[in-house]
Amino acid sequence: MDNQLFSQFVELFSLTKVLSIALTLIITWLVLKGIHWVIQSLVNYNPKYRIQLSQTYPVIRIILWVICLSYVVLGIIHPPEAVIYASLGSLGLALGLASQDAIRNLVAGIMMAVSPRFKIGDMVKVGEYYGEVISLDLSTTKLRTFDDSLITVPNGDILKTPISNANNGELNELVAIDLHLPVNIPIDQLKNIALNAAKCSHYVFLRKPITATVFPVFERNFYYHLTVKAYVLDVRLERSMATDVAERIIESLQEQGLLADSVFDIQPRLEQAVDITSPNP
Amino acid sequence: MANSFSWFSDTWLKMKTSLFKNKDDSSIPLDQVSRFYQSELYQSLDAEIKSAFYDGPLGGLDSRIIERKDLAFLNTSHQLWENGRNISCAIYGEKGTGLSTLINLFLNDLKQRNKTYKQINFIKRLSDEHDVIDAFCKQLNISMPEYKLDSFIDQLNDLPPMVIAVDDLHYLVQRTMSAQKVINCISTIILASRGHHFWLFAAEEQSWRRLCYGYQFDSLISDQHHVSNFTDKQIHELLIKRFSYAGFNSINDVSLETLSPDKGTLQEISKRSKGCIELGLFYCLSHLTHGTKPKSIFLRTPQDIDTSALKKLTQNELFTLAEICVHGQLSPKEHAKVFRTHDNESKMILEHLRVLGILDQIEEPSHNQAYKLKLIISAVVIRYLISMNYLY
Repeated sequence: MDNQLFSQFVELFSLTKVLSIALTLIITWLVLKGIHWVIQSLVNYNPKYRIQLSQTYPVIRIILWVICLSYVVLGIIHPPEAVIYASLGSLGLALGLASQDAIRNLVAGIMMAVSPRFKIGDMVKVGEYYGEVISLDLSTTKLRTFDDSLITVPNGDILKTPISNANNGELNELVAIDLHLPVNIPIDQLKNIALNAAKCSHYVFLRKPITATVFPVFERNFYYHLTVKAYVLDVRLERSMATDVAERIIESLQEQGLLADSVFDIQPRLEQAVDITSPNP
Repeated sequence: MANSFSWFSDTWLKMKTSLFKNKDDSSIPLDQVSRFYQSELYQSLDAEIKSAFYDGPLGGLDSRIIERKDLAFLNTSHQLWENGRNISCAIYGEKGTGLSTLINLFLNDLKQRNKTYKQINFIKRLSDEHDVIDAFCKQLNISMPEYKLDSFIDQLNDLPPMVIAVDDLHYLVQRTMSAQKVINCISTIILASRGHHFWLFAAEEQSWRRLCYGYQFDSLISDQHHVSNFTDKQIHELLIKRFSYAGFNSINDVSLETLSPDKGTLQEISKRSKGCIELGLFYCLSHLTHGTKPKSIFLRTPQDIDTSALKKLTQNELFTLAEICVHGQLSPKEHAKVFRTHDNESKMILEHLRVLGILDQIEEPSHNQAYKLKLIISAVVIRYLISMNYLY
């Protein structure tokens, strides 16, 4: 009986078959590398469509691996039906027990490739992490945050967590810039300056609307909470745009003398303080 | 689906062509194109060829092909205004499509019909209400002891009804905090006088888009018209006229009369010119050799333009190029204001782009030094900036 099983096994995995399997896997890997290179070249050639093009790779990869593995099992190994069922049963039980999380992440990865919740290049918030999706692998998703950290999130967790997607496949993205300002600034003037500052920033995508809202807030003292909402040209420039617009607003308010007694004027006041206390005449 | 497939296959084919060829043999560096007129090759060309292929109107021929429909649009709008309609219009198109020529043709036509018109050319960027009123007063011969918007509008409306053509609208574009005030002032003037006068504006496409996206300038205009780029066939026709004017009667052993616009080297040149006549002229001059027969010429197959110089530019430099396309031109001071940098830093960026052969240094009518995109490569640069999402 043992001899028979062994001879069946040897027959199933003869040298020719092992070589064929290796060759098939290598060819699939090479084809995938080629496809990846083509997609990257297309992205470099036309960066405007970076997000749409990048998204095609994870789907193609899953399809090709499924085809490759099916061919290996059914076309090359070609085991008897009984062996297939027995193997599948055993394999399922073993994998299910030993690697629940890995299988869960893999299944989640396949589900995400079939019905994507975000694309490569999108700016997403997963839990406490916010960053650009740089790769969608079979079991993990990688994000690059603005402080250049690489965050790896298991796909199983992504399916369970609510995801906030800032641009949803588009290159431009709505950015909200919040500023807290003193209440002595006339609201009309403040909104006007905020809108003009956003229009002046070269990072702003002017084809989409810009809005500015002002709310009075009380927290120990009254202040205005200004929110400027504008679309950034490219998600990667989100922080640059927010800084640029905020700086333009503050500069303009200072130029017009509207921030003379505010916290933003702290540097000259500090210098004055140093002058007063300085022992030199 | 079919469209996206064709876009995908076209992009792939173009990319494949650009990736798998030897760039040394088959492409011309961008700076070689932009500096062609200073090159030894150009200097060595015959005077008759140079005179036929210079960038400007050709004796007896108009170098700019003005489509009948473009002129008809202006005439129809003008007719409607004369019949009492409250009309103001704008024409816009890519750099070098002949907007000024079109306006001049329209105004000449008005002159022949004894109609009153005024052409306004701004000579500097307008930075406040005073600048706007000053520019209009000087060119419309309105004298005012003190510049006030209300009294200017009263005086403007006291003038007899006329066509007021405003070219160089890019002088209104500015990415500074005062831009909105300038646009508000002009808007007030147009709204208060547009029934009385016929306002006609001309702007380069990128400037026009900025004015519309940023300041809703299009809401002031009742009719706008896009002057389309030259078609391959039009460029083909124009180049044949130039060769004929230079005294040649055959290209690559095919007589000019029988040259097909659908095949051959000249068709290839027209296709690669991207609607820009200056590129067409460059391709002809840089690829020609005299034929064996008298009055014949040989044209080599045109090469692609190598844009790798643009790919090496920094993000700041690409943003600078995009803003120059929109503003028409930028002086170091204007650049510093737009990008909130120091004057010297701005000067360095602009100078670097000039050294690379992308920008030209010019003197503005107001005697300021400014930098503008070289016309010969403008189509290439603008398309590149659009593909990189710096222009939209």
